[in-house]
Amino acid sequence: MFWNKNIQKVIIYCSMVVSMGGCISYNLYDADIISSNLNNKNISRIRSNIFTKDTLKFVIITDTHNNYDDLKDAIRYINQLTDLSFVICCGDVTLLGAKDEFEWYWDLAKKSKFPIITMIGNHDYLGSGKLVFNMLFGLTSFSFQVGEYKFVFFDNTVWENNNISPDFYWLNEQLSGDKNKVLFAHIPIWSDQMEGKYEQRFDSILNNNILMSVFYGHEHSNNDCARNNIIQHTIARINVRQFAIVKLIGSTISLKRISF
Amino acid sequence: MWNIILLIIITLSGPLSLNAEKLSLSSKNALPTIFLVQYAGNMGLISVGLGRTFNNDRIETFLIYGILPKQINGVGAQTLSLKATGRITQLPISRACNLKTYTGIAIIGNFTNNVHLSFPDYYPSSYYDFPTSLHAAPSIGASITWKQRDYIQTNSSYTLFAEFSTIDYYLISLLNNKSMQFPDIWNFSFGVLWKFR
Repeated sequence: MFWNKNIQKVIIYCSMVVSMGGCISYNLYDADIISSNLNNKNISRIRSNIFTKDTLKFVIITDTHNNYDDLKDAIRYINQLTDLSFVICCGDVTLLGAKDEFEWYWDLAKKSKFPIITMIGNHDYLGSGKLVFNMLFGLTSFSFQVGEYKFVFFDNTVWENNNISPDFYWLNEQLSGDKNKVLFAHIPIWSDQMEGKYEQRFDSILNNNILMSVFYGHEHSNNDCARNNIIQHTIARINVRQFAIVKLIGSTISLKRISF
Repeated sequence: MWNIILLIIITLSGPLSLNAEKLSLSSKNALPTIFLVQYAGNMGLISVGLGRTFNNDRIETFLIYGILPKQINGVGAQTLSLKATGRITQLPISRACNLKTYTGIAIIGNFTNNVHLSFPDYYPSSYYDFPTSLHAAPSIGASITWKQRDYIQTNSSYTLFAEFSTIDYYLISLLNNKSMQFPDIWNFSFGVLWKFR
């Protein structure tokens, strides 16, 4: 009788273990993740979905960190919108750059019915975050064109990237040409990480090229700043429960902030 | 954050202070009595450690070194951890064998890419309010122990253990987000303990 009771307890415990399990982690900062190249897949979706080439509407969210409830609500709200071409997340989808955090972000973000493009932020660099980002989403600086528009995503993290200069040569090349260009970068040009020589280089590139606008994350609050002959915008972090809708018609751009 | 870490270190050192008088009586008491080998659990692919039991085997403490070779998934890592476990229940299965459930906490120091205990000089002070290389890892587990035939003379036994553990920030995320499920944050590990005296 005593034996049976104990065996029963062992079986119950083992089944609890099995039902919870399957999850093995060697290290918080390892890169045990399936290579997916999600940004390229979503860029292909954007290109195949867009029929009117001179009018586009898209949403910008940013700095989702570990605010998963807010991200879930934002995606649910965005899914009720119409006429959207895509969603941009302007970086900092993690706190620690851990693979689990990237996966938790994507588990919610992929529920967007619109293609979603994810940028890297400074937090996403921590640990092996850059490697995980490369495997899951692809390159950290990239661009794509749709009709008359070119969207440029510039990885400008400095400190968390071992204090290495962002690739301003690449940025300058991407911003040359005749297309209507929209730039996304995680860290604003006026922010601490850009201060000094990087700010000067960034300024010079923005002054020498014609852009429609620049959108940033990082600062966690909304800001609209006239600089380099354009209006540059920071978007509030997701736990402020706001996102931005951007509309492009020909060469004009408009921004509307939405609370959810 | 540092207050929490300090509190955890004090908690970990509790068994040592309780036994301080005994420890001072004989240097033999300061020597480890358990050898540990563990698979996974955020401490590396394999980790090995030495430990002691306290309070009639109710509490075990370990110093553990773990390694994850870069060839496994692209990131090489080493860890140095302090771990303490406390018995919840113990069920004797036979005279030589018993089953135990326990809870524990480890302070894991990570030595890998781009993590810091204190951030380099080019960061402004307090830019990050947490050290990325040091994390607390609470755990809950079960073990089964077989005592050696000459246990009374040698105090020697073998233990298989399996446990679920998580990381401090994952627990905070779970508490702050209804959309996260309790099983999401736990990872599974197992290992062997050899109590050799």
